[in-house]
Amino acid sequence: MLAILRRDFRSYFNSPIAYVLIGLFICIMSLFFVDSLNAGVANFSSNFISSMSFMLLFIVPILTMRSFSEDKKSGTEVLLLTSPVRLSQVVLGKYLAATAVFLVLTAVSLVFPLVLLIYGKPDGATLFSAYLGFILLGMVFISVGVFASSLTENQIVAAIITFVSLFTLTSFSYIGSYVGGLVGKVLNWLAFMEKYYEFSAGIIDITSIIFMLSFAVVFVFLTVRILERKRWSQG
Amino acid sequence: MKMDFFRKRSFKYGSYSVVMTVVVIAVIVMVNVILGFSGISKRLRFDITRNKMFSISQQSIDMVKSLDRDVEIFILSSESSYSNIMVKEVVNQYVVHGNGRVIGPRYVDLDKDPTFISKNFDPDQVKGINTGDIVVRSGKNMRVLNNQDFMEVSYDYYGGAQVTGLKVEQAFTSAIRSVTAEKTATVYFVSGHGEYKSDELSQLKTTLTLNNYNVETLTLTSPVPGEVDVLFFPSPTSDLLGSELENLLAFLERGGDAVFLFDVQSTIQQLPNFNDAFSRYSLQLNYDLVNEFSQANYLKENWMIRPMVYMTDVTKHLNPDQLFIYLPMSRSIGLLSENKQNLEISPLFGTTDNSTSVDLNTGAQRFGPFLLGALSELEIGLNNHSRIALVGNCTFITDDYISELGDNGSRYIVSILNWMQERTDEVLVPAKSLERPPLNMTQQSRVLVFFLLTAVIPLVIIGTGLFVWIRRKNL
Repeated sequence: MLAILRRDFRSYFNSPIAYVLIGLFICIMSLFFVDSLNAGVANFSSNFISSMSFMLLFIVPILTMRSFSEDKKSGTEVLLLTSPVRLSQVVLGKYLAATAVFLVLTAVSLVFPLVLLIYGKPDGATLFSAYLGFILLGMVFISVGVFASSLTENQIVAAIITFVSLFTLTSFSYIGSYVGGLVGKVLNWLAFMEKYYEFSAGIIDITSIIFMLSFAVVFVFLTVRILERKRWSQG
Repeated sequence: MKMDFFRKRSFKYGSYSVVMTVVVIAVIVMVNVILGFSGISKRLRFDITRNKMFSISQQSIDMVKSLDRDVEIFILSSESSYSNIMVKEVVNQYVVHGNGRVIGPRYVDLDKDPTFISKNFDPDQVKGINTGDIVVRSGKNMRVLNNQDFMEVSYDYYGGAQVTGLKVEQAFTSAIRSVTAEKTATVYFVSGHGEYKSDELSQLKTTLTLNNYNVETLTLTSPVPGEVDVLFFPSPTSDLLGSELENLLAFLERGGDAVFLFDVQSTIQQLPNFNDAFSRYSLQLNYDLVNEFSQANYLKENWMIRPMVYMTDVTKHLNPDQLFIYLPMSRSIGLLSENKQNLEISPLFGTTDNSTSVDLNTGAQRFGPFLLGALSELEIGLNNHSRIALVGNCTFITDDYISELGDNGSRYIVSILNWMQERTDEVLVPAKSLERPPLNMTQQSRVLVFFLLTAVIPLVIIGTGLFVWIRRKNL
């Protein structure tokens, strides 16, 4: 698993994709950040917080679109499927590689709280909580992206599936409020954005952490099942 | 043929895979459902904000732990559309610490159940309960809260309103105390002597209600009813009639309490009957206008006095440094030299040595310091007493004043009433300040940060990527 993680992680940084993603993310988020500085407050504004999550809708599909699609296209998928490594380790390796790139992006974005720290006394605990929420949200989104990538060999299709899925996921609370009833309750329960906003307000909810990690585990598991099916269907 | 299909390897793998997937997902969902919908989830939330924005104070925790009757909390909105995170968290805290006595919150979508209010709270639909309101109920007692009750508003010099604090905890603690109280004290606003009208004191009345006082109005033309706890005189401008004085004295002599607030009079009218009542408490209302000359104790004009606040039973729970008030155009209070053993007088507000007063009758000038407010407690037999507060200003609690200079004065009034009602265990929960940590950036550093973040750092990162890519391409 570690070998796959290392290989995929390096491949992200051997091509310009990770650099461009991180660079664009920092550039666009900086516009929101500088705008929020005008309020004269040493804290992330709610606008900045929601922009961070909104940016993930675009970052994650690009980050994960090549996880399995690339192997399919280049023919290395057969090697992976027939290798002695367990499929769960393959999937986990690829998932963790994408997550590691996301963590690098998150680490670079620490430049924002650093600016707040230089020019003010921000509430460090709330910033920590906001970043925890952001990382958990990223982990959930990446699991969906990796799953979408295992469904198709076309990277663009994988990215579109991921984007549509994530967009739907983030709209659950809106849809839930319209639908109402039991379905509405279930959709509200699944509403990640509400949980993310709670983290960003400074509330750490252990059940939310377990929930988001569980969601990521489910999608990683589903990805394993998809590849498992391919393995036995190909004989 | 059919048997062959079932023996096929793909069917075996397929069915195994489906069963396994269903089992794993079911287990994960079960774990989350158990965690999410049980009482455990409420105990696994932690407020890590610096000023504990979403937590309640130990006083409120102690209060809610000692409840001996059930309290229900209804939020009149669908759960998904109710977005006040602070209310949700604070209610959560009451439920967690309430030993099962605090039940809720129960969300009620009035679009789906439009008759809920009339069926459960307000059959005659006269209480003005609306969508988004919160009802705190215990047995037959109930209190309705809305967003206005949760905000502390301050006003700038030009009258601009700004929300400076949140008093969600204050509102809920007060509501819970109110609906579970054996008896709620009633403050009667006296009318008939040119006092401020009810609609000029609406903000004070709201504050009193939030602090567990019922507010009613009364005239003194007939004896004061037994259920009256406190009489409140918001700046009478004409004197009591003889019969009214008798009714007032009868009320005070049986242990009643009263708050007297007097503005500077525009007409030179003596109020001997009022002063007769005050003399029994060794206090006297002067007919003057006080000016303050100590720079730290007035605002712009010498008559806009920021009084010195004395440490008394009324003020010991308050922080006068933060709860400063301005008394516009005040009259002084005199202390009668008469020494009574059963009387205890405490100064409340005062001026500095550097102040003067002008007698409105004679034009004579006197030099400070002056008393602008005082408390007096008269022992009446064993374990009974009558308490009065006399303040030479009433403007500071009017709506007009509050809209310009804030409502700190209301807190002093509440504290005076708490002292009179001997609410020694009263929870005085301060509002959570919304003051956010400031950013000390010059325009120059703002421009520097802008270029650094939007151009330099992204270009360095993308440039590194291009360099790595080109180098690998040429390997």
